[in-house]
This record gives sequence, structure tokens and C-alpha cells, in this order.
Amino acid sequence: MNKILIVDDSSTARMIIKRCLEIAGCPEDAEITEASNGEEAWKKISESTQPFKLVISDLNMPVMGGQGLIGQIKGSAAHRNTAVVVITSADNPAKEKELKDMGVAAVLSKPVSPATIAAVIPTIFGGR
Amino acid sequence: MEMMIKNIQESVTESIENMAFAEVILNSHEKKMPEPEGEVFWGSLEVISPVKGVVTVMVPRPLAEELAESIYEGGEEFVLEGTIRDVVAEVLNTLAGVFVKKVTPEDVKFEVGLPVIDKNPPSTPEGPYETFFFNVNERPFAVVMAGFEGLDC
Repeated sequence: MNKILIVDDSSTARMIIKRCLEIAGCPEDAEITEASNGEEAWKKISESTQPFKLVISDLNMPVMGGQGLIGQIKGSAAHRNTAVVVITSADNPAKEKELKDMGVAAVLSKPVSPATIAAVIPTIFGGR
Repeated sequence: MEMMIKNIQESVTESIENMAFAEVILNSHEKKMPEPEGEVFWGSLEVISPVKGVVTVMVPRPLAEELAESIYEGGEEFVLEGTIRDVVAEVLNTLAGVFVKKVTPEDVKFEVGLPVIDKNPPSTPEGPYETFFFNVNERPFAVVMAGFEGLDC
């Protein structure tokens, strides 16, 4: 099973991302889970018996932001291979470089579209 | 001011058309706070760096409901007050991010705050500001840009 975690403090943003994933064609066996901040996401990741294949996260969130979550994931021996894609309204080339240096697979700008998500899915789940 | 108008218009259009497939038309801009009729949602978001300012949107409830209905594809969630507020917040968050990205050099990171939604109107900004009056799906929609002094856009 391909577990996917969507992390955003906006339920609207999570819904849009989920719909884009469905339109873009995520794996048929994908199980999508949601979290509203980095702390809640890290709890779900660390307590999961099966590792997440992909975490899609916003950056600017209360309690724990996206960069805190990325630091936790990439600093964990058990989860550092989890692919992280950032979808944010606060990105530009300077921010993208910083995030990629942290191990992020891709950085996408809001408003996100099925086409932009479809472009990164093969790199996460292999040629499809 | 011409570049500011272009950047605001593109930011609002790109955000709302992509999120809710709604038609966006810029009608006018002036130094005057919006005067809403009926129930409205006000959303404010602080831009922290590299420029300082506040982006405020005014969304009448009927338009907020239409945007929610479009984004949630008519699901039952769209009628909930919390969902409508969340839609206004995400529209604001997205258009403010698109705008700040347009006016920030590529090698400079920028920082924005979290959107705050209220039904009470904000006080008139003490410093410089400009309000951009739009029609979205033929309903009024306004964006107040306060601060952003020295912004070369």
C-alpha cells in the first residue's frame, strides 16, 4: 500500500490537493491521510506501522510548520526515505533551494493544479 | 502604480480562477475602504519580510458561499460556517503569496503570516493604502493593500 499524508492547516487546501492527486492519477492502492500541522503529522508518521511513501506539506502552519516537520522526517533513520513534496504560497527560487538542500523532492506553488502534481508523481512512485 | 495594479490583478485572477474557476474583473482602485452591503467576511494577512504590509480581502457571504461550493464541488461541507471561513482564508493566503512572490527578488526569501478571518471590518490603515475593487462572478470583491512602502512593483 502507498501511504500518502497531506499536511496543511487549511481543510480547503487539503481538499484541493486530494482532488488534484485523484485527477493526476495517484496509485490505485494509495491511502490518503490528513494532518493540520507538522506536530500532528509527525505523530501520525512516527506511530504508523507502515512508513508513508509520500508527505505533501505546506510550510506556514501553526504549532509546527513544514520545515520543522521536514527536519523531523529527514533526521529520522526510520523515515528519511519518505519523499516530501512542499506545496506552499510562500515559495520562490531562494526558498526552493533551501528546501531541496533539506532533502525535499519537489516544491510546488499554490494555487496547485492536477498538472503540476502529475509532473512529480512519477518521480515518487516510479514510471506510471 | 501601474506595476502594482498589474501584479494585484494577476495575483487575484490567477488564484481565484485556478481555485474556483470564477471570472475575475478589476473595476477600479482608490484610497478608500470598502463599504460592504450585507454580511461579509474580512480576511487579513501580514507580510513580514522582505517588505512589510497587510493584505486584506473583503468577501460578501454570497460570493464566499459560491467559491466554497465551487471548490468543494457542491459537497455538504460548503454550507458550514467554518468551511466558508477556511475558503476565504485559503484564497487570501494564495493570492497574497502569489503577489509577494511577484515583487520579491528570486534570491530573497519572503515570509508571510497566517490569515485571520473576521466578520467585523478592520480599522482604516493609518499609513498608505490602496483598495482594489473587483467583480468575481459579478459579485463585489475587494483587496486592501496597506503598507508596502518603497515597493518597486
